[in-house]
Amino acid sequence: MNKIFFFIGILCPVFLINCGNDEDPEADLSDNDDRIIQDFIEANGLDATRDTSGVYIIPIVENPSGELPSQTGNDILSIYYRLKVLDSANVETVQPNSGPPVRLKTGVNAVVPVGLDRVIGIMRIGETYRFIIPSELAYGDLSFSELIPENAIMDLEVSLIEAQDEADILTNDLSAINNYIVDNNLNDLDTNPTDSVILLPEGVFFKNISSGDDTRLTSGTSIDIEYVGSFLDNETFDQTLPNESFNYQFGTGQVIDGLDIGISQMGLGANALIIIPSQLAYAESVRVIPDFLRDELAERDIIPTYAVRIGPYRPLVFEVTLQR
Amino acid sequence: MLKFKVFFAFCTSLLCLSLHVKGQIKEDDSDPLENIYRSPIRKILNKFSINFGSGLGYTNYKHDLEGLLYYQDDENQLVVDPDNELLSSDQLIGSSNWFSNPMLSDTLFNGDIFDVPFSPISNPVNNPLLSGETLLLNADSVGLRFSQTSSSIPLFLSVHYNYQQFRIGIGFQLTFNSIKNFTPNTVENRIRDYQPPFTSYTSSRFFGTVGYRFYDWWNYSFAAEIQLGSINNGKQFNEAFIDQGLFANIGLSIEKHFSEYLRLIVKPSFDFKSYNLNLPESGTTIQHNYPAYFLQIGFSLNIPEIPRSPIPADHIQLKHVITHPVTGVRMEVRGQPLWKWQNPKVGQNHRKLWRNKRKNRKKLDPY
Repeated sequence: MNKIFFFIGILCPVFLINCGNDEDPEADLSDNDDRIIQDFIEANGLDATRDTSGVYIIPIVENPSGELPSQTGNDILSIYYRLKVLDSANVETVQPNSGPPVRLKTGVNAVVPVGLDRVIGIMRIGETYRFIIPSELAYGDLSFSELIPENAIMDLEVSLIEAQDEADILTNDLSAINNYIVDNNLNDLDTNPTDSVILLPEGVFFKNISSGDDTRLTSGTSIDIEYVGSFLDNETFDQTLPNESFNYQFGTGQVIDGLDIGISQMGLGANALIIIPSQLAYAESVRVIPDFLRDELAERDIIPTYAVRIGPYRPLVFEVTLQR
Repeated sequence: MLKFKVFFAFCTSLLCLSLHVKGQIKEDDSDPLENIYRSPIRKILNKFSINFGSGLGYTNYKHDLEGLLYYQDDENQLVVDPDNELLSSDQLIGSSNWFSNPMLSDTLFNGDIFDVPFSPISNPVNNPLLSGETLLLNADSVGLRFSQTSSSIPLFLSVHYNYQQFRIGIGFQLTFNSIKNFTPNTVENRIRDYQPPFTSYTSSRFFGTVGYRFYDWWNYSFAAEIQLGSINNGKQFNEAFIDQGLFANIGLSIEKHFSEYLRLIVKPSFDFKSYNLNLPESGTTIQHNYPAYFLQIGFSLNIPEIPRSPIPADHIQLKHVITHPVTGVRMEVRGQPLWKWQNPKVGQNHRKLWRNKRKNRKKLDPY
């Protein structure tokens, strides 16, 4: 009997040690990714450093005298980029020859891939860096057609062109909106009745098309509106269906600030045009790199639905009818 | 010598007197079995058994959400009529508390609250709010049912008339029920448990009962009883929306006879009952079934047809006739208490006998 206990006593620790070694599949994956990246770096003789977040950083063009936005607090960055799957095909490229740089805001968890948000703070204006992002900081197990496989490690080369703050963005928005007003003759009351465009003190542009009654809306009132939403280039991003209206509680923060501000000027039955600078609309929204992944990410509840329709820093135009 | 004579004379006269008296009794009295008073009220009452007691029950509540939609968000759990005209727009209205007191909800928004033109959220990437718990599903396609089992304590009182082996009577039962959360039969769609608005309620029921005693064994008898009656579940159930049906109960009454008048009852039984709940402003009805298992324990007693002897010194064991010390009425009385058999055999019932002591009860020869 005693011998049996003795053997059990010896064997138990052996079993317990094995119990402690439960496999963690995620840890496995990130270790695996790390190894693959290191192999790639060695094979290509790259000068890479590993950031604490797990992203590998390879400087391409350095500019030691350039502004460091993470210090100056200008956290709205404009970048060009080239995105590839590691050691594989190109996914998306935005370069000077294809148009303007894309804007994103760092540090507020409004960027996909998350890995980029972690490391972009090291860049100065005028620099180009190459980031190798492990899958858990990129798209995880999401795969997209043949371009992006599951658990893909991404190779993203970024050039930082400009850094701005909220005030700069507002200036840009105001000038773009003014161009829109001029280009569309919104102040020509013969072609575009009834009143000209006014700038409300809160910062929203309001043009009365047809007046309603004298009702002044109070916070908490349930109202029905029909609207057509478009960008400054007249591309529609959303509208209410015919014979249907959108119902919400006015003045309670349910909708974007700019819309409530504009509707506060309207009586029941009125029809008006409300032009909203990006800060009072969706501001930084979400920057998704590559852009075509937006639908897929929204479906998986990774980004909100509004980010699919509206990208970062886009002023919006709403034509609204307030129903009786 | 004189003393002897006096004594002799006295005895003789006593004897003559007694004979005379005896002769008188013999002459005047009729049959000793007549003129014995027995209370007619007691005689009638003796035919009825009074049952009372308590017990434990388990009730299984279940209902099907057939033909309805189920809506759930952070604050609400509703059943929605699929003919609801708001469903085509991103709105709906439904009924909460479809268990006891259905109420129409406010008009709720059923669309995507992260779509244009709703406000943006901070930290949008991988924000846990995005995988929110709002869901609207067709209960038929999922086959959604909610159910739970919880316990109750009944208190019953019934009176029945015994005729040979049949018994027929009426009764009343008060049941203290507890209620737990209802669990859905599927958790696939992240359906929450449904929490009723109260944790306990008291129901009362009146019933008629019919039974048949089909087997006797030593001091035990077995009877099958059926109860049928109406049930009221209390204030917490809104009568305006509920059609309460009758309930039916079938049970096996196992009785141990302590005496002709007292029995211990152990009665397992099964209860069938259900009610229909009508949803407000909708043609739909939800049927709630709540069958129950009860184990009831109690006593059954008959009022004895004759009382105990009123004379304190009267230790006669059998039924006998006495003359009441106060009223002078000749009446029959019994010698044993309610819980002992009347007219015991010699030595059968004496509490001081060795064989009746607890420690000796299993010994063949306790002496």
